[in-house]
Amino acid sequence: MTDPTHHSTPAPDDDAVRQIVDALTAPATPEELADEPRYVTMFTALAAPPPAPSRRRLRGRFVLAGAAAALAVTGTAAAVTGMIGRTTTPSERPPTTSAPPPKTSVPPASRVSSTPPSVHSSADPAGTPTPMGRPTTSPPAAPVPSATPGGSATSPSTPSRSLQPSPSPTPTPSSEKHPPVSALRASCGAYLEGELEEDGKKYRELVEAAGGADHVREYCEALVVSRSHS
Amino acid sequence: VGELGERFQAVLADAADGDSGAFAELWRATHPPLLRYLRVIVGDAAEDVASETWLKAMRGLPSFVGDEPSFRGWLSVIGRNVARDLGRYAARRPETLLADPEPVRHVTAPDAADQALERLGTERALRLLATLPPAQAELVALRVIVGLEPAEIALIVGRNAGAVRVTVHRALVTLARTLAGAGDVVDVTTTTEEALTRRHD
Repeated sequence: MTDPTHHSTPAPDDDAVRQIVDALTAPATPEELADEPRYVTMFTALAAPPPAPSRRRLRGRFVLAGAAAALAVTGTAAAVTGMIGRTTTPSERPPTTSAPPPKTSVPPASRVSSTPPSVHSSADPAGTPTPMGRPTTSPPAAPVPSATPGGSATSPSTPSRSLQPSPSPTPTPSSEKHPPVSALRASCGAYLEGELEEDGKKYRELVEAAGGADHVREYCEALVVSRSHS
Repeated sequence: VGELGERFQAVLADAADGDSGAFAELWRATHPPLLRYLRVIVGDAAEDVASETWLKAMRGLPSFVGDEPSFRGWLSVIGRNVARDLGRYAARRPETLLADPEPVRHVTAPDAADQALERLGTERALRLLATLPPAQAELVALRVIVGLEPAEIALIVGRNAGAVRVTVHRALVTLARTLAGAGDVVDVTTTTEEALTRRHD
């Protein structure tokens, strides 16, 4: 690179630039590495599998599941017999159980509540906190750039590294619906240049892929940076 | 700063599998440049920001795919965003880095300049870097310390690659003049490119 504003004096300062670059890239000092044990401890804690649920908790979940099943069966039976919401006395019971259900007395949603969502979610281990106190399913703050190993890092424009896109670092319930990475990358490019409408479909796709609107920028930056290393 | 080179992929894979020894190796190779970069953009808060950065990186580690420069760039992006989220990025100019610029600022005599060059260590170079306007300092840090290419830096900071390249070059010229105590305009065009190329080859 040449800079027309700078010419002339040959350079005792060549050494200065070299010294600066060398100093800024010098080997790590002991102070910079002093926290290694703390970080390794942090890593170990995060890498450890979440604690297995205790027998009491398991038993509690079985009880909840059983109660849910009972409620579902009861609810279904009640729906069939048309007895929901009514005080039943022996005199009110229909003479036989083969009576046809009333056509409009029970809303459809009440008839098929075999697995209440609350029971389902409470038994889901996905929300189990990690030893660091964060849910295991919380997405990383930044997406994962995806470039195949072994490529050269010297030039972003050199197509020596191929990409194996993996825009979503952790699986999310909606990750299967993401558009192709190439489309996400294009949307990211537009987003980073301020040319993506935030009420449009492409932006919504980015939000979904990034795991939230707060993460879109870092997601896009990392995705684009990973591309530039390809 | 140490690099893992060809061993990076194996170390990364082991770390992603939960091998704490591999993680330690990965950390030793990549934490120092991250910390230096963070010191440039957030000063005293660098350690805190680095902790939060690594916490996020650890969670994303199993699904990271890329080479060593990509990894350093990825860490830096996370760190930059953490700094911004914590409101520290806005502070820009770190107090401690401004505290003691004398050893390099007031060098005027050739002998003194030589001594300054001989004494220049990482700490002093970071202080010298802090004498630049914050935006310039960050660009130099991303280019020299983290080792990103101008095009990559451009995407991160929202400028074009040419502007990044020119700004980094001029910033290094300024630093060289400050360090050497020279009042004249000097030609370090070739030197800046050579130095950066030599560093990142």
